[in-house]
Amino acid sequence: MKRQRLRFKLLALFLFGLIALLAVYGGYSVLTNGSRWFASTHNTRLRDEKQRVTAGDILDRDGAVLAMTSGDGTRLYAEDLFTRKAMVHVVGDTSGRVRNAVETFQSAYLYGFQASIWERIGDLLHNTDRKGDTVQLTVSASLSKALADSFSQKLGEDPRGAAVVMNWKTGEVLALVSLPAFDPTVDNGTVPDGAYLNRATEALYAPGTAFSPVTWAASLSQDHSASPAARLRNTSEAFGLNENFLFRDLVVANAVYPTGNPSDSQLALLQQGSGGILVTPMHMCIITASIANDGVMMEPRMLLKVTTSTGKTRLDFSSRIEKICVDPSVSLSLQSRMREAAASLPALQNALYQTPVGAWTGAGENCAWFIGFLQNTNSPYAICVMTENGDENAAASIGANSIAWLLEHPISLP
Amino acid sequence: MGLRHKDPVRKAGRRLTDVVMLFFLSGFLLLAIRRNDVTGYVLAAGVPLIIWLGSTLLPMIFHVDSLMLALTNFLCALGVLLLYDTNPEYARQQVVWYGFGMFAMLVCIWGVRTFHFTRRSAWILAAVSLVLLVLPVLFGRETYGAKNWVYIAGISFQPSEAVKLCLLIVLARWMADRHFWPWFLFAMACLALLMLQMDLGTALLYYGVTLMLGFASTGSFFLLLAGIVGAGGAAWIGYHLFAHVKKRLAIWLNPWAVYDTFGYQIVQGLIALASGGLMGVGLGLGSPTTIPVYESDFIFAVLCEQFGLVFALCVLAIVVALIWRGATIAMAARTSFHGLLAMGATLMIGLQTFVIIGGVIKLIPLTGVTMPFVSYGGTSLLSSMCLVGLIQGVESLNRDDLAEDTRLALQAEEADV
Repeated sequence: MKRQRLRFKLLALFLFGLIALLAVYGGYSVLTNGSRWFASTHNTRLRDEKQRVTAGDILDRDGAVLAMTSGDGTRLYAEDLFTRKAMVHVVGDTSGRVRNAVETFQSAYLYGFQASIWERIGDLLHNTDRKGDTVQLTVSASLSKALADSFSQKLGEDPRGAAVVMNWKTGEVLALVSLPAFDPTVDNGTVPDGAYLNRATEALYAPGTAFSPVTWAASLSQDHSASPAARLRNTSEAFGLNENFLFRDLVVANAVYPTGNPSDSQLALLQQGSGGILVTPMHMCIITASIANDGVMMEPRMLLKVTTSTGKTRLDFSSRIEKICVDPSVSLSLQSRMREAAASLPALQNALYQTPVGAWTGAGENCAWFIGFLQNTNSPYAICVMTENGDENAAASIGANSIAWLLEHPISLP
Repeated sequence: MGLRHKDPVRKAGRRLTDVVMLFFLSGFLLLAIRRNDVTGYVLAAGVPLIIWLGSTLLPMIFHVDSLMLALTNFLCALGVLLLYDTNPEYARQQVVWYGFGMFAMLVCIWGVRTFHFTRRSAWILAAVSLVLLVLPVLFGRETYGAKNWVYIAGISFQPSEAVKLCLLIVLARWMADRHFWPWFLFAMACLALLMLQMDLGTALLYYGVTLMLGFASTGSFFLLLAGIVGAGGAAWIGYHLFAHVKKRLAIWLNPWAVYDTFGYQIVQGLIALASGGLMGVGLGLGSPTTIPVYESDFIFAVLCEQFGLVFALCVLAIVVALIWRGATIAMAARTSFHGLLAMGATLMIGLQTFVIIGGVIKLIPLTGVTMPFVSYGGTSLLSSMCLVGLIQGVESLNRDDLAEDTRLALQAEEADV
């Protein structure tokens, strides 16, 4: 009986372990994936709630209104057509044509699902209509508009591509533009082909020679026991390829680095950023920001502040380190090489008079890239431009324009 | 009587009962006012009354564990509350079954105290169990992919729920008597019949409980290891032989990919979890009825949506407390048979909770079992309360033995003086 009691104790501990596993896994899943599940287009609750709650406003980082609800319940977007179009892949629209935009991904705030029990009781007692929270973004509408204009200037009437600007110190996304864009207030009929796709976060492209900084980082790796192929793969994965990113504020398609042992010819292709390597422009911007930030990858964030309908702050911006990609020494070396490369780019000559800039251009299959950063702690910006119908020079010109704009209109840090 | 008041577990149980009654009184009143529904007011009075009667009368008849009783009442009443919010008709039926469940618990306590489950009675129970499990194979109707329900004269029931109790008694008897082959073959026969019914969830439960009880009685790590390897092998063969096993695994891995068809239920369950967040949308709010089978398999998702993750964790803590009480009672049992019986019932409750909640939160593939005490369904509720009845029966015997020991010790002391 004594031994049997001991075994009962073991079994009880085993059951406790199982229940603890449920608690840990359930809590982890809801906290990490909850906002994605909630923002799903399959969420019928959201559709029901939209009938009962006045959606909150969406503001840019300077307080400019990007979306608001009128007295008759109509959702209104920025007054200026060009701003509306430049911001449409960030803001989205009420019918969810752009996947994972703020209108859907942050609907828990916008439709008041994050209201506390006391706020709900207060609404019931005062018999007031429920209003969702106001969401202020880290994105600057004027910078986004300037970027979209720049695309039109360089690529003509039908520009196709994407651009992302980030603060490499904090991870704030300052601009995110995807082209072609559309006006969220018009019906489907007049929308250009492929305009609903957010090319910055959802479309995967071969980085081509723009991948070189990662290849250099692999060659500088101290892990001499690994083969060149393993070093390149390890370094790529350190920069987040093949990783399932679960960022708090935005969804980024998983970047791909081919698994398996490559032959010599395949390795040569991989070193040039092709042969199956696929990334989003947002990911390339994150890589660039990590290099500028001495190898530290910050989590990209798009929410600056969330306030309740009564003006109380529900959420404030907080930055978080996502991971350490490479040693600071490797990062310093990459920064130096990119600064040298920037010096040889004619488009950047004006900017270089004012601040140190690191940059690199490259071409992948059917696309051209520009990546760059300002090496100045007062202007900690990382930029990625990708064009589908332009060459490296066009991409570099758009990048240079955005740098010039940022130097002229400094963005306040949180 | 003096001893009773000094018992901290008993005291905690009584206080908890008061809190539980107040919680449900306010919960049902809130919904009744909101709906302006007479049933709500009746439930607001009736459910706390059942809890009070159960917590007061039962300990007057038998010495039972008050804390376990309070926790069981909480879970049962929580089920009725959630059902009233989502479907008042289900709540009306469930509260009747809850009343019957209290009576069934009483019968089980009495049964454990009264009957000496001999080897002969074990053989009879084993035979009855196998006959019951054959019924759905021959006469059952397929529901949600499993043929595990029997419909006779307008009444439907799930024989595997009733067999759970027989299984525990039979296993405890033969394991206590160290009769390996009878219990082994009986468990295998039950499993085979459950596989024929395609009731994978219940089969998993029976297998897990048998394996763990087998380990508890023999202490053989070889048996435990062989059981785990055997289960792994069976899962591998099942995956390669049966298309529906492959399908279930694929749904589990990525339900979003098959949202429109097989993944709909899990996806809606996950969305309910996300909608509830930490603190829930509130009782009476949200849209839990969009989840298919919300009243039974997915009642935990309903709970999470309305009360939130923090409350769900508290419910898990209650299950842990139930397991702790069950295991403590099993360890205090004077005979191997009673110890195995109480531990078996505890394992059944704990494992069943893990299997269904694990399926809802996508930790493991979903198998259609109910959440003990909370899910809608008379057979499920009765069987869960009977399991508690078995544990309480053993506790009642433990307390009698303890009282007898105290009496003898006092007598011996007086004789010495």
